[in-house]
Amino acid sequence: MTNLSKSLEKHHLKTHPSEKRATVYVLPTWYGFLFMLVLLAMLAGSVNYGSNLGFVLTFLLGGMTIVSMVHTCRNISRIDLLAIRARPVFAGSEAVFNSRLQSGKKPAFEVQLGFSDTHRKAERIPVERMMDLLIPMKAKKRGLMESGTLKISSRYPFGLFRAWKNIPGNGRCLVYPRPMPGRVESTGEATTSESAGGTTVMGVEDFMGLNAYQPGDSIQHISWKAFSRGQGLFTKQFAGRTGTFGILDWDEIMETDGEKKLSRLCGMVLRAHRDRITFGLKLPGRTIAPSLGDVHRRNCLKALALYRIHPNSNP
Amino acid sequence: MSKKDPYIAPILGALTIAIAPHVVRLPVWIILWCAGFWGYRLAAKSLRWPLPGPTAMQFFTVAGFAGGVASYGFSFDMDVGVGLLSIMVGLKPLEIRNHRDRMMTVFLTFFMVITNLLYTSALIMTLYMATSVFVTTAVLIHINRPSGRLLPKLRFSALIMVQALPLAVILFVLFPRIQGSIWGSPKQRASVTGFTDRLTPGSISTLVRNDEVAFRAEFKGLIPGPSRLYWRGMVFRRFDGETWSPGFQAPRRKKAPSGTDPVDYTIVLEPHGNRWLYALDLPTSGLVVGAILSDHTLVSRRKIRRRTRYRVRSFTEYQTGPIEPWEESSQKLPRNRNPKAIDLANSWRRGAADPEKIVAKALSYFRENRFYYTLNAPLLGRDTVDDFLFRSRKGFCEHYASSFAFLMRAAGIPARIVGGYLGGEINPYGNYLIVRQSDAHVWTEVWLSQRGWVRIDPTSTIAPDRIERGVAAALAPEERFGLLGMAGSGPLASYWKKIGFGWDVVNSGWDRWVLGFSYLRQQRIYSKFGLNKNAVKGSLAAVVFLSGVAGVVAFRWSGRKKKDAGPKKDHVQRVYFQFCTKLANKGLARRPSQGPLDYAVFVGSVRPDIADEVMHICRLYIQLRYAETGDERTLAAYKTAVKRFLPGKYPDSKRSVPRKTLRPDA
Repeated sequence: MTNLSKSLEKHHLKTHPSEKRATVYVLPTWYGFLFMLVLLAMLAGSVNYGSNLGFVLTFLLGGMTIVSMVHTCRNISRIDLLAIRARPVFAGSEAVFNSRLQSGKKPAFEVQLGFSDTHRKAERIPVERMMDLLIPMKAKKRGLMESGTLKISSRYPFGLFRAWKNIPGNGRCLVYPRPMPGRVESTGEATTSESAGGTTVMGVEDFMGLNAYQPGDSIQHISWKAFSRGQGLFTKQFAGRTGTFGILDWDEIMETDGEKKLSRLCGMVLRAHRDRITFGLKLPGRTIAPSLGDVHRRNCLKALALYRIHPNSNP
Repeated sequence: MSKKDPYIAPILGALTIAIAPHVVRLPVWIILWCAGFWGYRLAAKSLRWPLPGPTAMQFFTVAGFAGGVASYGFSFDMDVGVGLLSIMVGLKPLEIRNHRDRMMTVFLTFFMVITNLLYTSALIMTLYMATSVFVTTAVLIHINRPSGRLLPKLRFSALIMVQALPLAVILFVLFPRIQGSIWGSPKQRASVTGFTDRLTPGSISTLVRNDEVAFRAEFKGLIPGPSRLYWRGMVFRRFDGETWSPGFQAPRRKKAPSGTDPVDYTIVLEPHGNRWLYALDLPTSGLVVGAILSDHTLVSRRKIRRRTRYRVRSFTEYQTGPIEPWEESSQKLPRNRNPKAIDLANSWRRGAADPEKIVAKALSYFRENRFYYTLNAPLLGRDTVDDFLFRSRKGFCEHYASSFAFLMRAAGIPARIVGGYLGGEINPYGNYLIVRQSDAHVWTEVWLSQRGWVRIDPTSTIAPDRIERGVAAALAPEERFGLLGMAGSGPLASYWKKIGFGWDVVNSGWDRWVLGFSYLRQQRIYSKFGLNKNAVKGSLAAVVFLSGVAGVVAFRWSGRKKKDAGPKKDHVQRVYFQFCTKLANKGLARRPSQGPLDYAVFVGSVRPDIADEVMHICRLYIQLRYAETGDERTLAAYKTAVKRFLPGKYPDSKRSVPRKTLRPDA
């Protein structure tokens, strides 16, 4: 018993979407039942007429039906889900879960993938390379949206059986609050963007162009796209501004409802970011120092998304 | 319907193959019906013709069934079933609109295939059936996976068929058979040729031109010589002056005749729609499928409607014993008929009291009076025997047997006619005889006090070649035309004959092992495995058990295969790991923190000799895995590059870091 639980634990620790061995289920489809009826009729005819050739055909078709069931199962079992991820979205819009799939040994055909309500079909999941399948899902409210169980199913090759397996949802999508438009209300030295007159310095916020790579450049700024096109190593150059900043403060938002406050703050973060205002965020229990740029924006939005939500682990 | 419907042509193809064998028996209008609708459907696809709506479909359905009733009437048999099915199948493609319709049509196609088997069970039909199933299955796969080419689907279809074969064989052998049928037998198809229970002048000679197989006889040992190959079928005892008939049925034989020279053989009898069976003179006891009557003929329990197999043992030398009281009718003659023949017989009887001498006299009468063996016997008058014996003197075996039996009865010797076959063709590729309708023959039996019933074949006195070499050889050359065995000569004909024999061997093997598989054979197999107590229960249990075992094995097997596979990496990455392993073997292992480019730069700095190669592979890897712009060719180049990559020893033992990889500020 202890051995078993130990091995289970060990197995559990190793668990990763790609390694999980999900049970494959199989059931006849409506057509499967119908075909069995057809076979029964054939059998009855063969018995009645004592036609051994009829028996041969009936049993051949019966055998093929059973073999097809095995093929249906294997078509499903050979599919591996390598990863599932989604870019953060705003509440109210559609999250897109990107399932990265690959088939072992042989390609899998006519596979349906989906969460509880949305499905996508893959005609062929290849062996030789990975395949991405995008499954949309409505993001209703902010926080961490779990993809739920991914169901992979197929009726290939005969349509007489449907096999499926459930892969517990490891996919999570960070859902930012639904942004609410409005003026940026901030405390501190915030000014409107129009009056911003700071000098351009090398920074990390605004993409300016590519420069040839020099050793010492941050690896994060290497343009991998350019590199992978075989153009050599380039470093992305960014510009930033200095001079203005404000604090977006939870307590200053004139809303009674917490969610609405978050929505307002979300809208402000976006606005401030777009206007390249250096800003900070102050939430009850959490403060993000004023800064600029994509990373900062992301941090702020994430803080808003996860406000008073305690995820089990970070996505 | 959209212009690009990838389904309709394959479905129609499969349907056509399935229905094709029925063409010979379907009314012409049904064939045109199917061809018309299918052609329309096919053309509608590309010409954007409209498909009929529900009202039109209802009209067609009613019209089709009305046509069916008009063609077949209100009876219901197999032909009608097939006809109605064909009418339906003809209409079905017009309403194929979605997946459901397509699946239904494929099911119908499979059903169509089995209806063919109710008509013929020849091996060639089986092969055709397999082809039809193969194509239909490929279409079924195609329906469930419209993308991709057709060829792999055909291959997959064949694979599934082959994989299903063992299961089909197990089910075939183990599925419990019953004797007889549940609700009625098929109506006898096609007029069956062969013996009838009426023997009139000319009834055998019409059979001679028919080379259909009557039965095959497989011998355990040597095949007896031609003079012993008298296949006894029925005995005619009653004569009304024109026609010989069996009369009342003889009682069952109580005592087996004594005899010597036994032969054991198995007969595979083609269906003839009657109950009689054939056996060599004279069958001993032990027939399973029927009974032996006291005139030494065999009767089956039920009419022979399908190919039947039975084993017999016969004594080729025998002694039937005393005449039985019921056999008195073997002396009766019709009144006021054939007075000249009766006078002739009486004159022999006065001359010699010994029946054997009378027999010899009768035979010598045939021999000495220029009787002529021919298929084209002239018509005979009211007194057929007189007319034949004293006027025409041209006839076939039935004329000789009939007049001989008549003469014997007139001379006071019990006599009867036996009908059956004489001889047969030995298939050189298998130890068996093929007996055809053209081997039909009648002969006589007379009862002699010392010897019992003795076979006398008057035909052999006229045409000795009939026994040794068959009908064709015994006839005059101008009559041989069109008869089997003399149909052609020359090397081509003999090759053709050899092919015919070979095909017959294959066919009879198929008949024996597949078509001949019966309740009895199944019982034998069961008893070998100790399942004879309750066969039905036992075999069902076996089927369930074996399926269970097969299921568990399949499950375990697939489970184990999965376990072995281990965690999956994608292909590109797998190849990259091979590359890393090669480097790691040279002491240049990649640290977990090193990305592919870091690693390449690192390797390049330590090993400038392979720096270019490493960077090349690294670039390909990045292109394939991250930029996702790589095509098949890039993948191939990447794979070969890794395969050929051999990081040898660093040529210079002194570690020097070349300038080009030095950082400017380092």
